[in-house]
Amino acid sequence: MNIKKIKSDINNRVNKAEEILDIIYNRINDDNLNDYITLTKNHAYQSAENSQKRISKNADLSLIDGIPVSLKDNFSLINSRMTCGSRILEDYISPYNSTVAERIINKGGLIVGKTNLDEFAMGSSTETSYFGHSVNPIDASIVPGGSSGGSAVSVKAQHAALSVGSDTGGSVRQPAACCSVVGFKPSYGVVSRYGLTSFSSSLDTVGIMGNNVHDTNTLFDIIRGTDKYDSTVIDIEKKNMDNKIIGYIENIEGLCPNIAAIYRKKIEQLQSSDYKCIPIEIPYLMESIAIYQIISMCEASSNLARYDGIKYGLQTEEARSMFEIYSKVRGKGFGKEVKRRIMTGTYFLSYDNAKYYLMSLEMRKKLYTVMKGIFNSVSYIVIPTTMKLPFKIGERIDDPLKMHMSDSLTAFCNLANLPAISLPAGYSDNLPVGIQVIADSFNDINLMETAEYIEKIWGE
Amino acid sequence: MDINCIKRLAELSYIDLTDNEKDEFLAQLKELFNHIEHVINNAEYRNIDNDDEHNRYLTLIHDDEEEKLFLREDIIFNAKREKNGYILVPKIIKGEE
Repeated sequence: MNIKKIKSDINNRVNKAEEILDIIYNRINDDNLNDYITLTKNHAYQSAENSQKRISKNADLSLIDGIPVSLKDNFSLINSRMTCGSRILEDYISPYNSTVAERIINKGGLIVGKTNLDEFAMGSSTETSYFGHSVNPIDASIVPGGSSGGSAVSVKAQHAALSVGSDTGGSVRQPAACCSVVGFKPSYGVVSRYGLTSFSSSLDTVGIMGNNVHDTNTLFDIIRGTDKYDSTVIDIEKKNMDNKIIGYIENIEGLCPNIAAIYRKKIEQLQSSDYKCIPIEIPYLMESIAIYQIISMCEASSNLARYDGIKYGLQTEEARSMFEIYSKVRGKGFGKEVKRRIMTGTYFLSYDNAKYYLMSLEMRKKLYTVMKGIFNSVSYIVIPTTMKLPFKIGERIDDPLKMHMSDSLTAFCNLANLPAISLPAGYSDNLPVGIQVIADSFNDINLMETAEYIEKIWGE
Repeated sequence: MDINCIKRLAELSYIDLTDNEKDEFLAQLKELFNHIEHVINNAEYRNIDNDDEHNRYLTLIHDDEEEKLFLREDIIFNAKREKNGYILVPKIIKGEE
């Protein structure tokens, strides 16, 4: 299900926009993959009716007019439930639209529903969702990845043509790899975070998933750009640069041999086309997860302080003090992973351990400058999205450290503010593999063009 | 790191934990903290040659103007209990004076 096919069906009167929604909602119901927490049918059908009228008059608003899009359930959609996959927000209704939702609606996109995620986007499998994990349509015994696992499943299972997710350490790219779809994390400061529930404010980015690079880029063009509600966002332009030098890592410590074999093959394919591939080293790649863990969890411990059981969300009937209200509500409302992360952040912000927080900030700065240096000699970096093939449901849920390692090859992009896109790279032992193309900060437009070209080379 | 440390962290985080969670978290967080501290302690990171680039990136921020976005009703809407336009908080039972 891609934009081209849906548009052609609508234009050739095979299906009306409303009928496409009927098909999708029936499919969601029949497949039972738990990729959506909330279906926003009223909203979608209303948009479809308006869209159909425009399309009938050949007055399409945009390339996504009439196209079904899913939205991760940590983005606000006005008057719709937003749970963030948590019990603490089980019946929370958003009073406003996120900028991303607003822009999709304004361009005629149909928001099908809110997709499942690890609680507050903390996880790599959707298993920490209060609403249960999503099912990977490729193989029900393996995880769909996370935290935007519901989004990846919705695209793979044709329950939406496109999906919006969030990527703080790999949460769009890793599930895209697990479900064999395209997953793009732009540079920080290119897509507005207004209405995205904060997890780690200096690392959170809005990402996109689609069936191909072209569709993903189409939505990217619509949602990016300055926004008065997010002061960190700037407008970017295409850069005049040499596009043909690719950096790759010859030996990635700990990389599973199945993925290494595919990676080698993909690099060879690039070499036999018109790319020059040179081996590089990324300093701090192995340390990046520890830096990421400290920074993201410290920021999370502060950001999640807002869930206190007072103004919205889960409440408690009685307590002896305000502190008891907070503790009771948070004890009942948060799942284990969220509790562990808040406590970890609290630990690393405490007086005795703050040196680790300060050291990780320094190392992040160092990583950023080191990556700038690397991009002086290469135009893009190509590396696998994950170290291992998708793991089994239940395999890592009681082993947080192992679960966090799922982001080993993705989190450094968030730390160094690099745009990165995970492309499907085939299968090994019937399990999907994803490979990332990474560019220098704010080279997102060039990256998308190159990714589309590489997608063709790898698809041949 | 012992069970008292877990209790203290839970207290500082305002999170009630069950006894099972305390035991489970002790083992998990001990492993996690040891790992993180080990990695950071062994990394060579000082002597940043040039952080101008990074500082420039941090200043790519435009003005943030205040705007009234929500009505009182929007805020009250998600509150479980409300009276005369105010949010009612859970009843606090006073201990013995």
